[in-house]
Amino acid sequence: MNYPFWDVPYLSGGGVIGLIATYHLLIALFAVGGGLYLPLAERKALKEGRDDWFGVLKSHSKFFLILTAAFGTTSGVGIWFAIGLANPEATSTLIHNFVFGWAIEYVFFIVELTTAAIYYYTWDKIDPKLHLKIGYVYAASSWLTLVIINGILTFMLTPGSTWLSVAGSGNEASVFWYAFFNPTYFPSLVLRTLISWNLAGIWALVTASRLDGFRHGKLKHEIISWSAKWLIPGFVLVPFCFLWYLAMVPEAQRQLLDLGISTIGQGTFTQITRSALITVMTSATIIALVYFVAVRNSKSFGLGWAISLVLLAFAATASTEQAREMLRKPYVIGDFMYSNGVRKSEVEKYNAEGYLTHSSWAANSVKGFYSDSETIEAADLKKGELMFRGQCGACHTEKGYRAMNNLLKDRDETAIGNILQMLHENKDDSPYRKYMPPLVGKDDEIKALAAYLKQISVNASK
Amino acid sequence: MAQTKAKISVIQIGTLLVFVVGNGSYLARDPDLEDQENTTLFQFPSVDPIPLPAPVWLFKLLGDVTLVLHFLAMQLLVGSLTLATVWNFLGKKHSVRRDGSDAVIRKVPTLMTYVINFGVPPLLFSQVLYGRALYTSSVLIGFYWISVIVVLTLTYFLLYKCADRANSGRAWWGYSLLSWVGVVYIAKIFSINMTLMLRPEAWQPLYQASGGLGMIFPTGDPSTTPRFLFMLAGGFGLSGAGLLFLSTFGNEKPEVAGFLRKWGGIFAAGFLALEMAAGVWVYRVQPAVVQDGIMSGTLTSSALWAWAVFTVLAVVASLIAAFWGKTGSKILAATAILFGALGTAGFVVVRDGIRDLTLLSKGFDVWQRTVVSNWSVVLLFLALFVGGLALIGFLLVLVARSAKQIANQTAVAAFAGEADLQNLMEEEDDQ
Ligand code: HEC
Ligand code: HEM
Repeated sequence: MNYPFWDVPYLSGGGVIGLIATYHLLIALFAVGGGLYLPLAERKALKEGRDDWFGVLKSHSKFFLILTAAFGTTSGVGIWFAIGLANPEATSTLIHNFVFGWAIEYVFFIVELTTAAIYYYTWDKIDPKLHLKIGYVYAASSWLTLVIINGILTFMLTPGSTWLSVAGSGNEASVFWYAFFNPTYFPSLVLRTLISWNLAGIWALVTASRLDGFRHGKLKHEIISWSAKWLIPGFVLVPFCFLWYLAMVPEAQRQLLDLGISTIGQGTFTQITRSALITVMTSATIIALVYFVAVRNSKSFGLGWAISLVLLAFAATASTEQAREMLRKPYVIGDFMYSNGVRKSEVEKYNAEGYLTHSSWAANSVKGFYSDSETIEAADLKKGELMFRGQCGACHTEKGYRAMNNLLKDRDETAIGNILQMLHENKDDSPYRKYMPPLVGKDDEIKALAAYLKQISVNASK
Repeated sequence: MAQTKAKISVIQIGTLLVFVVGNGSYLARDPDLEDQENTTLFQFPSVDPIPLPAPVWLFKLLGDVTLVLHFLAMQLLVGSLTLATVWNFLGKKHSVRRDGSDAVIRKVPTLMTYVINFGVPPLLFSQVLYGRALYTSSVLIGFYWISVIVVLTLTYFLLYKCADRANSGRAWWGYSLLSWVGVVYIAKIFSINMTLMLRPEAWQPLYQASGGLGMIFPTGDPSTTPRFLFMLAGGFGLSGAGLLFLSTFGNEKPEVAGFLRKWGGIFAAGFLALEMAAGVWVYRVQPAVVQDGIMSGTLTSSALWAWAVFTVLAVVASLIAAFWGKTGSKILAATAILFGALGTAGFVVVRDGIRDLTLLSKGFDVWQRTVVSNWSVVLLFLALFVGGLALIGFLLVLVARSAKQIANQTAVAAFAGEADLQNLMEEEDDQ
């Protein structure tokens, strides 16, 4: 625990990241897909001399600008604030590796935002051909932001053997490009690009839904049908890309998925299967709704339906994110750093020399507990709480998300001791090692954790 | 190591300079000594084992340059939002005040875009250099830190709402007042975090008190309030100069332009003067070791002078510009804002010095880092950075040119009554 622990009751820091990230993805991927949608639609309208399309596109580009700027940009900054709070150690690793990756992304980002603003503010004010070109620059720069950030995101799941072989040696910078173009880079880039087109289509339906279908029936129908086509590539290709993606994930992590399918009903692993199923089901529902409700009944397709589609897309994104998150467990950076910020290479040191004693943050307070508390038991509880925050808090809360009081309800002291023993030994056949990091520390620290957990369990049974 | 040496020699040259100028009194004592005893009570988190991917000076340079841009946009935002809100509240429909406020608020959403986007790179570079301190202080006020995002989103959205209402001639001060509260709140949280990161001695007690979510504000730092006031006063001042600029370079109606010019100039002069006072306050609450360090460092002491001189010049230029002739002077307005901006650049460097000296006195030397670079990445970034800016500049020129052409054509077409615009365009094409 190099840093203080950000303790968010019920939700957990990870939960905060998940919420912001899902919300951000929904908008950011739209910013990418929508960036292509607008100029292509404009080109079509120009070529076919469709003045009536322009009104719709103008209002769409305004919606687009406000949504991507006010909500997209801020939520992007939000993810970054959230990871810094919830997992400073991992954020620091990422930043030390990729600071110039981020800086490059930032350049594309500035181009993207500037062209988005120019595009919106210059409708009818400049030569249409130039306007269209601005649209293409926007489309290119926004896609390039994805090209960059994708390298950093996929790195977290699969840093790749080259980077792992130098990790910790101080020469990480020398293999920057290997880390960047890591094993899941390309499948993920294709996947995200496809999904961004889907989202472009879905969000365009929001604008289209606000057209009066009885006064502009034909126009509305055309816009809806054209937007719906944006969903086709994703619908056809995503499943294949997903298999490609999985094929690039290391065997050990993939087992999590298999387990989910073979042990349905066991509670633990059905989570990941459930996520995958939700994604499939929501996507199918989206397609069906788009076809039957939007395309076939375009006249009466209203804002309510459009928003339902966006919410479904939110659900699909959220469950995909969760599946990805599960796939990465017990690591935050694959095979290098566990979700709780402990590096794989530090496990032995912590076991031999102590976990809290190595934390500049906690060591002093532990001394304080034993001098200030009335009883040793009380001090142990406080020390156990520090252990819990440091090593378990990244994935568990006391009550709420993946709650300890639930998981421990019916376990007594011996049962808790056994679990901790298994977590600590982290043997190859331990069922936990696939999704939980090894528990590290010396005996007194582990005992303190047990005492703390026992108290939770007793409180839960009351 | 090389950097440490370089820094020492910079300090030595600075020392000499200050000595020659006759302000060598600080040499009599060793300012580091009094603080050193405290260092055992707290510790900074250990440094990330991955080396820095580029030299410290490069991160500092990039961070400070982009921070100047962030501050400029932020100052313009804070001040113009305040003024515009007041005018919109006071002005009746079609009054000069009301039209002036509309002219200002239309620009504000774009300002916000740049506040945010020029805030991103300094945060990135600060996390690289000062992560040990910055992550810690952020977690300690985690609740407020993450709340910035929520407030920022609403604030930004409300600004678009205001601009929208301004375009359709409706009043909007209620919305802008709300977003004003948001903006000031965010500024305050930033001031709190940027000062808390310099006080490791306050961390443990704060953490014990807050229980982990980070809902308690730190107290007892004499520099937080003056820093916040400094930023606010500077904001009002710089946006005064911004209004001067808008009044002479924009295309507002003459009476609106005159109104913006007069008030802009007065605001710039008054608040920049106030900024200077707040600056003195900020300086005076610094511990002796920091004050001495600022004065003895060549870079920091010259930056301090630059800030003072340019701010005074900006005050003078703004006052003259406010009352110059009937239509104002473009040169004077541009000079006022340029001096104001140079003043901002000056204090950014001093501010950076305050941070390094404070941290150093507590055992955190930002220059003590191993550096292992991958220059292919760094160069790619620099090339793209220059290329990106060039592309933006190029596009803006194209757009401006084309907009002028179209505006002329529309004017001619309107003049000719039924003249066919299409024909006109074809003629142009033929030429
Ligand atoms: C990387 C994330 C992660 C970390 C860190 C983590 N766990 Fe878990 N833990 C999980 C997941 C996922 C489950 C399955 C939860 C479920 O079924 O809802 C789980 C389940 C459990 C269970 C129930 C196991 C069972 O057999 O039913 C216990 C007990 C538990 N964790 C204790 C701990 C303790 C103690 C720590 C800290 C030393 C810890 N966990 C750290 C992810 C984590
Ligand atoms: C309305 C929005 C904002 C306002 C009013 C604002 C205001 C401020 C103020 C007053 C400071 C100076 C604090 C001090 O030192 O006392 C500051 C610093 C800073 N701001 Fe902003 N800010 C805003 C948005 C942002 C955003 C969105 C980001 C980042 C994504 C950001 C990044 C920074 C950084 C990194 C610093 C300090 C840099 C350093 O010292 O290293 N700001 N801001």
